[in-house]
Amino acid sequence: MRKKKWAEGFRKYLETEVQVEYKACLYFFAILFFYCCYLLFQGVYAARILYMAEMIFTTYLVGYVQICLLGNFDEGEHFGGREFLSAAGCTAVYTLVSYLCGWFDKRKDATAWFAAFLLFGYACLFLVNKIKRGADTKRLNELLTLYQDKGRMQSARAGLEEEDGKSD
Amino acid sequence: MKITMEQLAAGEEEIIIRYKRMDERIEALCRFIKGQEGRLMGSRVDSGGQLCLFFPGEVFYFESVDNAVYAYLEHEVYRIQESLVEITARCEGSGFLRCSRTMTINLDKIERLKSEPGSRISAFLSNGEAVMISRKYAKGLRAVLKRGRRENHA
Repeated sequence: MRKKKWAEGFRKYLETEVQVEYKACLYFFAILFFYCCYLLFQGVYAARILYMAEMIFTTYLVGYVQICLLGNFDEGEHFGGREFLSAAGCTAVYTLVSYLCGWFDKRKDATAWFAAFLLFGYACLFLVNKIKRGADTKRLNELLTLYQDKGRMQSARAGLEEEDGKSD
Repeated sequence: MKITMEQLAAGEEEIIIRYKRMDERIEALCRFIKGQEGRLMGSRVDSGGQLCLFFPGEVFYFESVDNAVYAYLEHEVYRIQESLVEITARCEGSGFLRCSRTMTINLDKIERLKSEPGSRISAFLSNGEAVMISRKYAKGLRAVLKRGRRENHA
């Protein structure tokens, strides 16, 4: 019994971990894209590995906060006030870390654009997730209809066979 | 008519009807016995435990509550003797699927499905009830729907 509980707990932890890592990768690439664009505009063609490590570490931590404390708001059904505040809070954390770590050379204008980019990213991801779920719903209902139709056909066939048996 | 009953220690149960002429009485008896095949028996909850027979296809879902398993039909609720695991195994071929730790649902009674955040699925039944299927069981539902209904299970 205790072993089963432990296995269940471990399975739940792994599920959360996979979700967090998926989210961390997604936001890391978004931040890296903005960082690379910033460097390109400066005419710099080399990115700092230390900044990338800071980015992935931050996205990993914020990923845990998003899933465990903020109800995975970017995958939510609605994007209301609570979700907007959560997105704004996470954006504030990223912006603060970027400023303190000097990802954008502590430039206020670049940091402000970064914050706007993140908020836009959250909104886009919410929409992408919603569209993805809509497509999944459509596919599920198509499969369900096929499943139910096959059941009806089988019942009808069984009824016909029974009728044939009686007439014989 | 003489009725002989014999208890078996093992092997498949069998009913042998010995008749001189196939008359209406024997035919009705055959129909009755055939009609009982695959039926479930349960005590009706809202009428003092009256025993009734019903087809699995009539059931919307089975639910386990405080170690008792109930079958929910359109208007009636029956308490059945089997456990949820046993009833799920018995009715699997009739389109039933375990959808949570305490519930087994009839896929033929689902009106529509809705994909929910966190890989969960909402199932809206034709009686107006909605059931949330967790990620763990949603995986099984997706697999069953993708695989399709198996042959020879009406």
